[in-house]
Amino acid sequence: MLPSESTEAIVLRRKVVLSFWAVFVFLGLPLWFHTTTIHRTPVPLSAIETLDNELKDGLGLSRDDDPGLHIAVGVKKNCLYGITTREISDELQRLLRTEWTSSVFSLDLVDADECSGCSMPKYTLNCIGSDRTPLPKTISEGLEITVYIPSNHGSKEIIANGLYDAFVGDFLFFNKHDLGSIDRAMSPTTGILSTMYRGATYADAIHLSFTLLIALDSSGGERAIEALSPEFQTEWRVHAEKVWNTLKFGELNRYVSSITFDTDVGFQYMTDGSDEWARVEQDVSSDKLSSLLDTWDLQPITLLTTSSNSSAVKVLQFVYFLPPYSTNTKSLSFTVANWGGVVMAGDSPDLPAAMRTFGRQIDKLLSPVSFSLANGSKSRKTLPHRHEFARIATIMNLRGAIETLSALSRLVTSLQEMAVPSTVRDLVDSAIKEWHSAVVNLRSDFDQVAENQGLRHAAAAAQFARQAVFDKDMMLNMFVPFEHKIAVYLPLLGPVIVPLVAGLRRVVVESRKKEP
Amino acid sequence: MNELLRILLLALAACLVLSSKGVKGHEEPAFDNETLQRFLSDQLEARGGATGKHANNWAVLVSTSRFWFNYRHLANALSMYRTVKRLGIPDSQIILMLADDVACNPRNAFPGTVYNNADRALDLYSNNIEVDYRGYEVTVDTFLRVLTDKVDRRTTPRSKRLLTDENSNIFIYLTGHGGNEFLKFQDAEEVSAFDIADAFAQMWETKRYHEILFMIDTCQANTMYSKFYSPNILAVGSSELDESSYSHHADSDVGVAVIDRFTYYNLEFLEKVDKGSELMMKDLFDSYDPVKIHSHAGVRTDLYNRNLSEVPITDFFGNVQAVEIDEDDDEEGINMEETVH
Repeated sequence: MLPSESTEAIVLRRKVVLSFWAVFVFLGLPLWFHTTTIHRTPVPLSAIETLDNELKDGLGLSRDDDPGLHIAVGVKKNCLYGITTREISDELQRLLRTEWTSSVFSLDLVDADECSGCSMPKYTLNCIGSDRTPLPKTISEGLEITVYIPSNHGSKEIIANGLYDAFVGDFLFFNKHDLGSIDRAMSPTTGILSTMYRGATYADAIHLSFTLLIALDSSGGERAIEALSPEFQTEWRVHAEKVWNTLKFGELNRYVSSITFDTDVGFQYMTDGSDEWARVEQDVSSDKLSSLLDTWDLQPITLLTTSSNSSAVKVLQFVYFLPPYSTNTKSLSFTVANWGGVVMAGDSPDLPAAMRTFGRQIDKLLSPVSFSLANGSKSRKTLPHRHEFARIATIMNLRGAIETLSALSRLVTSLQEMAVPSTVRDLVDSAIKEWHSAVVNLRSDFDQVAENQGLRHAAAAAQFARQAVFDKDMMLNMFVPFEHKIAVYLPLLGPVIVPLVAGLRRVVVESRKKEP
Repeated sequence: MNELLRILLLALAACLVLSSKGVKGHEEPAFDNETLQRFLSDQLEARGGATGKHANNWAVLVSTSRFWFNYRHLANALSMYRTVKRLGIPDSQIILMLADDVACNPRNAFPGTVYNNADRALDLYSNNIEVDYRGYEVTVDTFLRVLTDKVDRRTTPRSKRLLTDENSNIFIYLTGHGGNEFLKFQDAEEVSAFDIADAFAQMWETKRYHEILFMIDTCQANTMYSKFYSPNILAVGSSELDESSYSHHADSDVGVAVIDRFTYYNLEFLEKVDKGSELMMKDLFDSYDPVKIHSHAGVRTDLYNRNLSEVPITDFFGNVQAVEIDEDDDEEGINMEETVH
């Protein structure tokens, strides 16, 4: 039998046990909680939602003299066929979901016959059933838009398409006086949507890279020798610089902050000799040219962000290819989406002609729209007017910013295991601040917008938003299966918990024994 | 003894309580199939739908194993690398992650080479390969950062980043050792199906892909795509839950297995594919034979809204160059004759 403990020993043991518990509860538990809690800085989600609603409501930018922004259209009953104005509006917004139009164009469709107490809409949409073929889909006369519905059966798609053709073609875009009736100018296959794949995304700066690519095969060739001469190299550079200067002092300069360029000379080793080129020349098709491009290991256009500024740089590459020989007098040229353009020399190299072709390719890559007129001719392809483009580009950047911020908001809300550092909140705050500055500029005179202030703020807002959503410290904590947590915590805490609990239990038991 | 038992039970209960902290984050998604379909439909509509039009192709090829006896996993990844390069995806659009400890391994009887077949007809480790992440750089953190592009832009070169956008089709291939909803990385850590699913969700929200083909060759591979919930993902795995994936054959001189079955039969099919091929993804999936593969390959299509018989193989394994031949038009364009000021 063990000797009984002295009173002093019992008191000491009690103090030791309680001390250990005090350390465990007041130091250990808070430390454990702090180190295992995922740090999530509050992000102003409601402010982001407010901006989203603000954009959907048109940013308060409605102007009578600028129909390209927010327009009220009264829809007559004969257009409805049981369809609601909301359905037509949603369908139209789907059609307009392109870079250049949905940013600036929103419709408020009201039932023209039941619009009591509301302000008169500017335009009226009228529908007429017709079985005539071919159907003239839409006729716009002043403020009245008439859509012909086949066989008196309307659908939201037909009505929305009619509105789309009318508004976007006739009322919205830049040189509207140069346009006649539009024959599916905005169709997804030939119009605006096709430019999405060409890389018409706005960037604040543009870099042009011109490469003289000389084909070398086993036969050598006079063309290659001539191209390698210093005189030809100098001529190449001079012409490339001329393109750059023309762009720098031309219209393009009005909506980008800088245009830079470089020139290079490269060599294409054709291991199959002239046969390889012969196969391309015999069958000039997109597939063959695509295969040829693969051998050049082309880099896609990507927006470069330099460390010195937050602006994006769009790189366009242009290649003047001198094949080993050519049986064609004319050169062949093609454009590659999200990359640039290529001119393949004919039987005699013509650098000035090549540069003109590069100019057309630049226009194709950067211009937002391409029109085919109903009379078969083509509209003059020009860059948009400065103030119009600046407004559109500003709103496009704001739309990009809010889409990115909304994505951030959704991710932060749905992924609770994701850490949110304070830098993310700071970037979101900066984006929102730039947003407000851009909207202030948009609401002011055209002159201010023409100076691209609004555009700069909007581009900065988009950039800050991207930096926030791609912050390298905003990572998701790894998923740990429940059984793994048991396997870690049990051996870690068990040897600590067992004596603590045993000691505390003994203290409690002894305290109870003392009580009478 | 009873007292000790009571204390142990208390300790276990305390551990259970403490370890349950934060476990809610990865519960099963609380929506049924119908709700999921509606959610996907809303997502697709908001993004204009997957029309099959993409503008560029990328590939992320990862061998998650290291050590000599996992030779076949490296060969798997290099085989896929060679295939996608042959079909047109340039190195600048391929992220290749390997332990890369095999070619120059002292045990390699053929130093500087990697073969995927006992006939040693093709050296996968020949010149012109670009390994972006090698050795101990191949970690779960690196992999997830590559997918979500949450990298340090000051120190990460562009060649090691996945510079995709909403027009990019991405082929993601993983091979190594796996289990029920996890995949081992270099025998040191694991990535779970939840982590990859959440990474794809981030990619979708930040518009980093148009469509993804997710292919995985590990044991119980099909469990790895069971937690995906983002749209436009086509997933294929080599084996079901509680099923192993097997190697195809070994090289007696190399001394180890050189290729896995699932990858072997994929490659056998893809050898018939060239850039102009009209073969469809359905043809590939129909070619999977459980008798040959020795496991049941699975395909998940509920997140993918296109008909597989109308999806060309080259939509994922090849590259797209959107070439437009210029029309002969001298009237339009920027006037190059303007005087330089």
